[in-house]
Amino acid sequence: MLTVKDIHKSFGNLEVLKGIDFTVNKGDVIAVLGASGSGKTTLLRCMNFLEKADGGTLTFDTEEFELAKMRKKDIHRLRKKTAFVFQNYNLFRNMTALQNVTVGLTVARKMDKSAAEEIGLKMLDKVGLLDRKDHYPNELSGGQQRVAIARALATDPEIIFFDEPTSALDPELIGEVLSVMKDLAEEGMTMVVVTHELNFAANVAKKVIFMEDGKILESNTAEEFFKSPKEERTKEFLRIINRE
Amino acid sequence: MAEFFIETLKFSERLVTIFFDSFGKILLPGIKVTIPLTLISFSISLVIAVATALVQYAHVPVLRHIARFYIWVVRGTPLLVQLFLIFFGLPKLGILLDPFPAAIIVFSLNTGAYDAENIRAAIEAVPKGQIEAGYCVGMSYMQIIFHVVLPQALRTAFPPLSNSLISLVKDTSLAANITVVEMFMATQRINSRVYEPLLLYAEVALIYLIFCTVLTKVQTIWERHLRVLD
Repeated sequence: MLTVKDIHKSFGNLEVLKGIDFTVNKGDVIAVLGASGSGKTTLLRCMNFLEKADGGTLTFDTEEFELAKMRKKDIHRLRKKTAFVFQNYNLFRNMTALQNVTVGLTVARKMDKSAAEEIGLKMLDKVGLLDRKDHYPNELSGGQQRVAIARALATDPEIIFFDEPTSALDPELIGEVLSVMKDLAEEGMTMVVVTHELNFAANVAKKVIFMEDGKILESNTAEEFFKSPKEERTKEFLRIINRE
Repeated sequence: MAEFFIETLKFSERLVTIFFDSFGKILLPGIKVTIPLTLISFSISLVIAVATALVQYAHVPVLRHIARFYIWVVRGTPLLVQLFLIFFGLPKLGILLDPFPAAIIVFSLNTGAYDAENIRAAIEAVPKGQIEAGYCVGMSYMQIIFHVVLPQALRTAFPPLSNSLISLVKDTSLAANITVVEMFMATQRINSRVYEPLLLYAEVALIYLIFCTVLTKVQTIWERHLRVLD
């Protein structure tokens, strides 16, 4: 469904992505692991054009694009097929939970308001926050990330990108978000998840990509990755993480 | 002694009579001219300010330079000079304006320049993540501006904008200089008949104070209603 080839990205002199290839198939749940600064988040952002890659190609279904030379029109069209969940939620501060979930439908897709609200309420119900529909983000305390997930779901995306969705959460809230994500995975949603949650990677993800220093060091099924990691560096990473 | 007392009493009686006689005569042009002049100018200034702030924020070629030039000129010249330039100066070019519209033009442009900077600062304070989230739900740049950025920025800019509205109420008194019969001009006219400058100018000052107090109260209530952002 989505293939990227040879993505390169530098910020000034710092080369963050040094040629990345990878493919997302329909129904895949891919966990992207790696130490801080390995380029995971940048990779995700390049795939949704939040960062402009310096080189490489992206193929969505049958269309191929040069990442460095994409037209705004194509970016806009491709973004409508995907959704993005941010580490710090980025809920629209001037909208209620329900408006946050429906704005992608009513404004971006010109959907009728009542039809959009019906979908919005369904999505809020799915993440367990129906009773908070009229709350503004600053009144949602723990529920922000789940509203953000409902917002991502509302537009019926083909892929959802998650950028460290639990990293900004209090420990007691991480479980709620992960369980919502697990449900999505079981429903067959295609997901690419940059995460530090090894349990999620081990139990929910189907594939694991391990990044280091701007490259993919190891790519495997989740089971293989945790049972018998191939690379020395991967073993070390798992050892360190497990000790923590 | 008694004579002096009676004189003083008569004098006070005269002052009280003038005060009450003139109160309505000052307040009426306040309601009919000062308030409309303020509200119309302020509304137009908001439109100018938002447009001026946006073309700079969005780096619209040419227009953003015009915007900078406009702010530079308007903020760098006195309001009174601007009034004279438009009302007395433009007729030399064959552009004759009535006092009221001339005042509206000057006050709108003047307030607009200051508010543009307030709004620009508020727009720039909207976190980048809000805009990225807008793109990710499929909105276009313009949709993000009008549904996400501006609503948030106008809330942030609310206190400075209230400030400029309150300033404008008082600045409209300068329109007396270009023959707009607003509150201050009306007071001057009454004074030229009865010559009680201390009383009458204190009286008009009091009415300005009442107007501004009401606005300040409204601002406080409104601010409480605006939801506190993160």
